[in-house]
Amino acid sequence: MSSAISVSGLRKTFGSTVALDALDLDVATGEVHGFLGPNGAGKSTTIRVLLGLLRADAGEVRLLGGDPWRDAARLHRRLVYVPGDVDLWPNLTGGEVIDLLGRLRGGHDPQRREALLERFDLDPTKKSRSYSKGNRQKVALVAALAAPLDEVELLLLDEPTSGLDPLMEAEFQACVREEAGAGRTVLLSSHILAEVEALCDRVSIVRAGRVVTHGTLSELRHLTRTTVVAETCAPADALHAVPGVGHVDRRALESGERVGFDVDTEHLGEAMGYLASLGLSSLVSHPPTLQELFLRQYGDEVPT
Amino acid sequence: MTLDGTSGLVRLLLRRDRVRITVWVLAMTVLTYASSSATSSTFPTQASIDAYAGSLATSPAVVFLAGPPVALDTLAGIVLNEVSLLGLVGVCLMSVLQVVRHTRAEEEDGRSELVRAAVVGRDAAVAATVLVTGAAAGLVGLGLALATAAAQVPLGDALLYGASVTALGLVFAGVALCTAQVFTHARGATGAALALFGVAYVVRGAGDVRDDGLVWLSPIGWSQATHATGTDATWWPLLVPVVAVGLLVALAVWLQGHRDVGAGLVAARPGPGRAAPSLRGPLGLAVRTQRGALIGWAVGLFTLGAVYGSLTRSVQEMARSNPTLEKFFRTAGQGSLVDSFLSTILLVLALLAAAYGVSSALRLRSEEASGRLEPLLATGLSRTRWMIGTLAVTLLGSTVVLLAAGVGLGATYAVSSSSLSDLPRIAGLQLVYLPAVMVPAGLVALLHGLRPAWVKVAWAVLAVWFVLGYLGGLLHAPAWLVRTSPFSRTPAVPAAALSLTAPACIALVVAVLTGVGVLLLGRRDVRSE
Repeated sequence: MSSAISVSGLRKTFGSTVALDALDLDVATGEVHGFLGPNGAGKSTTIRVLLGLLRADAGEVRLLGGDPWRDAARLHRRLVYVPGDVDLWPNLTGGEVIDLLGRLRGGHDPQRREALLERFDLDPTKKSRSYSKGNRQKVALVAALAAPLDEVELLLLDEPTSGLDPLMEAEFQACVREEAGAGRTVLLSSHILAEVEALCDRVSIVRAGRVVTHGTLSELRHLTRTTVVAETCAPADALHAVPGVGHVDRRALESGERVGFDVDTEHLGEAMGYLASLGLSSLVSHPPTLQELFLRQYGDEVPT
Repeated sequence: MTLDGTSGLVRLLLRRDRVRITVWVLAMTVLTYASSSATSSTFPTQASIDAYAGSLATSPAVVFLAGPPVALDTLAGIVLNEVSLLGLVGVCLMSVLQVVRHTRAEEEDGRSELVRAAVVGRDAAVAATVLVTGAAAGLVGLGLALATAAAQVPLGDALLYGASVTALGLVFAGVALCTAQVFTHARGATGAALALFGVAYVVRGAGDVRDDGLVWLSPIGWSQATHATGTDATWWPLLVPVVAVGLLVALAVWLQGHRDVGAGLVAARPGPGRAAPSLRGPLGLAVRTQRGALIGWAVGLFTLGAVYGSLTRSVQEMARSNPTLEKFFRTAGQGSLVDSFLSTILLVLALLAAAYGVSSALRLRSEEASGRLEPLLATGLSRTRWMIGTLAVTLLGSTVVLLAAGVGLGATYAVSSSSLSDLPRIAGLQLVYLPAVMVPAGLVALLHGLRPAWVKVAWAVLAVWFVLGYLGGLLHAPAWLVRTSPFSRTPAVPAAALSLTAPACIALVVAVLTGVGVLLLGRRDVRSE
């Protein structure tokens, strides 16, 4: 599979601040790739390097087979970009901004434009200065998504849903699924885990200017622990002896006991075998959420 | 009036502005002291004082720019004649910026909502702003009084001058309070208040040259009517600004009582849902976003030019009635009195057009700093095309503004000289300054590529050239400094002979500055703030 984006050893400093430190990122053509990290981790800086707005200090950056610094304008005709913090020209209307950005990129599909205005419930005749944060975001989304299907190969979305209400967020997710269904590649930077879980095939988690882990969601989950709550007939005295089990919490019930614990996913089978031998009356198990994954990557305690 | 919380707001304003107000007061005091002591040392003898009275200082151009000639046979008269304008312009600028900063700008940024939700009356912000700005204007007046008194102006006269400065500052604080009620945006409120200042300045200038009652239509005229020094010095004209301030504040409070927080008096109207075909490239965008400012500048400079042109009749009369003065000008190699007047005016209008050029070129910076440039460059638009397109509008706009000024001047001059051919001649001569006008804008372009945080240095450079051009020989500036100015290098037509060599060289300099700026932008990071 070819790569739409391939970054290796990317370094970018601003004065004495190291924004990106040997960052690697690989986005395959046609996938929806989640780019996760807290504020200030380097997500926007990476996307700006990909857009040729910032010049890399070191490292290799390829975007759609080209060099984003040298070929910026030419490559941009094949992609659309939605920034997370949109500032618009205050005396232009939303409709004018959408048309302007579309024309600069190479044209809009008028039917898609109308349909998107409808879907996002956006009034294009209002002056930008009177738009709320969410409405400015919608202008940027419509301007990007109204690009003709056959011209755009890549969507660079940098926290695109900030300020959108839950209905519009759902509409946005539907749009991204349609884009992905049409074969476009999507790089979605976000700190909203539910959004990434709902949309992305693969995820890269970035921290302090480096990608600390990447893979499919199931691969990542496999690296972590599953939480189990069970009611057993006999006391689970030997549970702590099962390899990979931790955080055991036992409470006596009228008959038997309730036991909660977490376990390394690779040892899940052994733990289940032990519980079954005690006689199970109830079992709840859930895989790690992205949130737990995320917090674990940052070395914080996972709330149980 | 609901004034609860005023004292708390006053403390907030003082806390926020303690540095700002101190800088304003000190800067104006020090500048005035430097300028007035330099002036008083230039005229050591009564003979040199008498020579001043018979020279340039009484020419209509200087009267229009600086004010009515008062007691010019005394040193105090000369000093105040030279420095008073600085105080009057400075205090108005301070008042307007301060008032809008604490009223409309607070509302626009949403901070006043937070304040008004507390136990704070509707009019408390206006009251606190008036009190603090008034106090600042009072300090400026006191500082200028002490500064001029230290340069041999009698203390009583110096205090009267200081009081007239404070009074003018208060009037424009009141004006800005009202414009802040009308406009939704701080920029609009500031612009409108400063435009009114411009009108007041021009009306006063015309009144001074014609020496009639027109000056009483202008707040600057009220302050200058005190004639701070000499036998005519008097305090009573300051009653007019006192009454005017009361009325303006009352009007602002009434307007505020009739609108919502955050709203102006003019409701926002919807615009087109689709972009016009012209809004496609960087050029179309720059035209669309700057056309309001461009129209304002063009109308303003056309009007100013027309007012100047209408004064040429008075200048001709003066030349007829005062042959000595006419002879003085001719022997000084400045052509006739009228030609000398016209070349001063052409220079002043060109300097103002250059201020338009800088403000237009600075859009390069504000587009990038606000983050609006990023989505543009994420399309098929290259940096080079964006920058050249934006600067093309600066060149186009500067040409329009300069031509508007020249046509305004030429039109009324042609009427007074009864020779229609003077209109195209003057308009054409005004355009000789176009390359010079573009130099500060070219400097913005260079700095934008080199180090964007420095772009505003262009304002400082233009300010120096402005002072050199405006006060010219009176300042005794070192020759090398004068030679840095493209405005001094441009032939002072029509008094001097027309030659296009210098303008052509200056145009080359502009092209190099711009070209290097464009190249440098291609090599640096594009970043918002």
